[in-house]
Amino acid sequence: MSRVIVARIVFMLAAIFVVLTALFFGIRLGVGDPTIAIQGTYATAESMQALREALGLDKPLWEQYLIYMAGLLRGDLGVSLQNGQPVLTQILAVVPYTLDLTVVGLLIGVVLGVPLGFVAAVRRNTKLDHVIRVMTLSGVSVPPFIMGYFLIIIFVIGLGLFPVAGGGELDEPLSRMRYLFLPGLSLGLIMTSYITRLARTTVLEILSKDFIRTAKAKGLDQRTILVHHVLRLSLVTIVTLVGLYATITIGSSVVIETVFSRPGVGRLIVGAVAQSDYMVVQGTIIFYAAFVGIVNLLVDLTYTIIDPRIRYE
Amino acid sequence: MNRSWNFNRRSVLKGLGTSGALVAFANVMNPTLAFARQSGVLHVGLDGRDMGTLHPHVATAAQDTAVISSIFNGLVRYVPGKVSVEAIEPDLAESWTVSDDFKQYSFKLRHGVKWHKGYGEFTSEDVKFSLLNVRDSVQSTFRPIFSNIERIDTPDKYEVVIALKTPDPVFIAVVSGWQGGYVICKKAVEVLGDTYKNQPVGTGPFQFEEFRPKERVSLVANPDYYGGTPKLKRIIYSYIPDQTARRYAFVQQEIDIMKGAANEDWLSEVVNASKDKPLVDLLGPGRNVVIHLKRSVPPLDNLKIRLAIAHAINREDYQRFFGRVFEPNFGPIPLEYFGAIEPNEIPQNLLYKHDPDRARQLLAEAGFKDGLKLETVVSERGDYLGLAQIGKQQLSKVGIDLKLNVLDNASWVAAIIKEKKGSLVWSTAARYPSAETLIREFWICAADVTKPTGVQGFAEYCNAKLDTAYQTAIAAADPKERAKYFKQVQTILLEDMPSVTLGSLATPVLRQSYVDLGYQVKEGTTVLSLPYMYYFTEKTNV
Amino acid sequence: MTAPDIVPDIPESTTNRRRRRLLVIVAFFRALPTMAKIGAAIVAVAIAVSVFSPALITHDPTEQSLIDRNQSFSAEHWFGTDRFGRDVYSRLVMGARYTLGLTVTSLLIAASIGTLIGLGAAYNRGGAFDSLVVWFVDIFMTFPTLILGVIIVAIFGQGLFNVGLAITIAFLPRIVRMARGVGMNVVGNEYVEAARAIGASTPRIIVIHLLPNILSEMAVISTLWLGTAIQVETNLSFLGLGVQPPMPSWGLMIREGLEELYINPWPSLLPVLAILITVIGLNMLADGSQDVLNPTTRER
Repeated sequence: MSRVIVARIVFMLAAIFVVLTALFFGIRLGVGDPTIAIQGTYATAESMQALREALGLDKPLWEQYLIYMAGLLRGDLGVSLQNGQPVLTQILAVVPYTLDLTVVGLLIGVVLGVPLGFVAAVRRNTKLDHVIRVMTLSGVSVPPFIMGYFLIIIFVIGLGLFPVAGGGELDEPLSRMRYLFLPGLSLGLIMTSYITRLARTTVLEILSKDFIRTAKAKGLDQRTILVHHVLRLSLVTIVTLVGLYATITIGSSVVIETVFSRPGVGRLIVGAVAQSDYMVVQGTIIFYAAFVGIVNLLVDLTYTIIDPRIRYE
Repeated sequence: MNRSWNFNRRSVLKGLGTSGALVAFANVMNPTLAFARQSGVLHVGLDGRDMGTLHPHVATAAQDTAVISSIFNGLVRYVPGKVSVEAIEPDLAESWTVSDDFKQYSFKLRHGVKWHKGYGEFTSEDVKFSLLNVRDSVQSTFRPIFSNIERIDTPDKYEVVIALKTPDPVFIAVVSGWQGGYVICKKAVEVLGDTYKNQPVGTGPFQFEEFRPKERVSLVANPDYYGGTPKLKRIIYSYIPDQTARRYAFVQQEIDIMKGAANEDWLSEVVNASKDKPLVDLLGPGRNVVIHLKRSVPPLDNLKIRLAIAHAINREDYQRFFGRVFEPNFGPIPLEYFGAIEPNEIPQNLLYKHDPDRARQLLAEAGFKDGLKLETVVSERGDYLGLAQIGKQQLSKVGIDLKLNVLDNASWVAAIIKEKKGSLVWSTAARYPSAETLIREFWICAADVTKPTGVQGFAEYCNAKLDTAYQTAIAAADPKERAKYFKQVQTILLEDMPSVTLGSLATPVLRQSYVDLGYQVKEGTTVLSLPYMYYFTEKTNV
Repeated sequence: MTAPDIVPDIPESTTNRRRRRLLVIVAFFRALPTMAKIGAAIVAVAIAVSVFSPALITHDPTEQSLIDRNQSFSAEHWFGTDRFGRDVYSRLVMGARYTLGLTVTSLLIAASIGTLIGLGAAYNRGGAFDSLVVWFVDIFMTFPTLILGVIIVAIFGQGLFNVGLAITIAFLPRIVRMARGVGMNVVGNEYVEAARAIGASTPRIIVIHLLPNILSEMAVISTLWLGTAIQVETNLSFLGLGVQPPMPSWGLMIREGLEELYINPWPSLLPVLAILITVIGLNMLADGSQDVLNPTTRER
């Protein structure tokens, strides 16, 4: 078990290292220029050079790389080229918002999606199944920002409820939840669609397994089979796969955060890319890799808890 | 199998119930709580993505200058809503005198002005430190404007004497509360060092409270403000780059003031959709909309081609597209700028009205009877792209096929400044509203982008006659004399046509009717407000 | 995984291989459930529109007429005009070409490269190359497709080509993983052993013997990603990191239209509908295909 955790963490660190190194050189050799992004049309050859020196961008690439990596080992992610704030501070300041959003999105997805998928599979080819399939098919097909605008139109324009822009105050739970509701629901509905489809397929697969047929043949009643065999087995698979969906959640959150002008890691990276803020792009990528790595680790652990037969040797 | 899973229908229902409760809970919450206006708190929606810097001597971006103007003061300031040498009133300086040769300016400072956050009293030392910083610091964006300062003396705590290298009759505008004219705190800079740019300390009615990256900057009232404690408790500037999100937030009254889009249809739609008839103000000085014709790209070196382009432009199309935000102009400088040449002052032969036939004739004379092809780069930012797409369409009607390579804004700036790319370069620049600012940046020989000092001379234009007229103008003390030579410069520009000026774009800003700015703004007129945002004073309230 | 139960049993030989491939595809479509057939019809229409778009448009999609801006539906402008007075119908039709052309091309490139890499890894099963491939795939699978797209744009800048590159790179690891999985099934076949026995080189075995056997299946699998690829294009455009104007890609049309959603909703709503219908069609097709490929969940 502990070996699994160590292996996961080693892999995560390796992943961060490889991607970060590629990104570090790629982005600096690429087309963006932070001095231009900062000075705009006021820039002259002279002023750009002065700024480059002030930001340490005039040094050779490998030297910049070593400085950055050395800082990283000390837990220093550098400072934003754009606003001069430490990158770590900036990321930590918005992480709660992104976590709120993704956790709520996944939670809604699991809470609604698993039962829906289960029902759809059990009631396969009934009207209910068809309705659920069509709804979820639309759900996975709709771009996240359209879902966001759709909810804004219903809840804000129609009902006059909930604010549309911002993230609320972190230390005021009420304000935090109000601002979370619409973005969370947008993401949640999308995730519900994904997870319903997943749950349906999983359950169908299990229903076709031989031992279920055997159980049926033995005359066990439907409910017992469903609860004891199907549900349990399907949960194991679903939990694993939901881990994979963490990447979809985090990808969609980038767009949702933009729709609702909500602070978060996604808005940080999009803004940083637009402004060629290398340091912030690098920092957010580390966050994403770590986030997905940790989710996968949690999935592995949950896996062993749900199904004690699975032991990592 | 022994670890039983009580996940039966009931628990499924329970799960569904929980999410239902979430919805119900959300409904129960009082909907008027958060998005109704908060008394004493002003919410401003900016169109930028993030703060750049709040150091007044470095910042140029509109989302930064808007915030800076509430934190800092200059020695003198403009009466809110006006920007001209005549509208200057005392601020940190109570009074000032000018020597007869316009080479020495003496200021008597206000007593008892306090810096924010306990950084002590404001004195002449701060003024000296601040002006030397703008003039000398490598980071300072405004060095050229202050390079005329020779020496600064501080005979006592409340007196400053500035000696100039060459006479400048309008130097008082240079030390007004705007950009390099804002006075920074010597002690705070010494204590905070480089972080001063993120935690500015000023003397203004509001002091810096908190910055949340890509989200907002908040300011709180400065209780010790020399003009009295501000009525507002707090100002929150939110970064909402998405135009549609900003609109929603404004219509829902989550924000009280917002940057609008340069588009009449959009503005009137927002006004109609809002509850209590918000007001739209067009803030100036206008951004001068210019197409620079790069001389090094043949056949743009041919005057006839440049004139043909000038004749191809139909300013009515731009009015149609931008609405009253756009004011057409035939002279090179926006009309509200000091020294701008008025339409009736332009000689008939230099007034290049929309005339496609004349344009085609000029093209034929230049040897391009069958038209010509050009290629250029343009920014995808809404205003630039709109301008360029309309321009492309107009040129195509006289036989000039212009290919637009659209780039994102940062790449475009890099392309025109670093790589000197493009043939037709659109620029929209707002400066201190006096003719010399635009002439200096665009058309004097030193501005030529191919020179190391070059700033925005995208036309790569250089005419010694123009430089002479410009130098004579800025040395003149008499405003009439200055205006006369500025107009001479503009006549030369019309003759040589290095750049076609289309007109100017104001910055539309919307405010809810319940916002009391604390000063009168006449609706429908262009309000001159340098930070591209209202000035918020101690009297502003919601 | 090669859907053995739907393909007539034809003896394995080089001459029969092409015919077999065709039969696999025909049999595959026959076996699709009704919903997937509807999906296939939608996709076919979308593809037809994008192929014949130059003949279908009524106006030049970039031609402006500011006097006619933001008009509603009329005989002249079927779907009205946008804020530059451009014909929305023509832009929508041409947009199909840009959006589908861009995503299909990018996926095709990703599929070609990815299939070869995946096959190579499958052939090298357990070897150094295989481990390296698996390792890299795992690393890149960590990142959501959209974030990978954002990173590519950060490095290479915006524009049609770079968005295509972003889609290619974002989907490459996913396709490699699929191809490796599918390839594993055919690597063990006797004819591969036979080829190896007569001394065929590794590239030859991969290209001549392995590739044709998984081609049709990989084609189907790659199509499954098309809906997601269209979403990546749309999302990048929405974030302001996508294709540049004035090209009428659907994502760009939405982004441009959203700014004036309340003045004239159609220039943004119609491409939204177009994307929705196309992606739903693709997903319906994908669902059905999965059912066919994975018989346990198939309709019986």
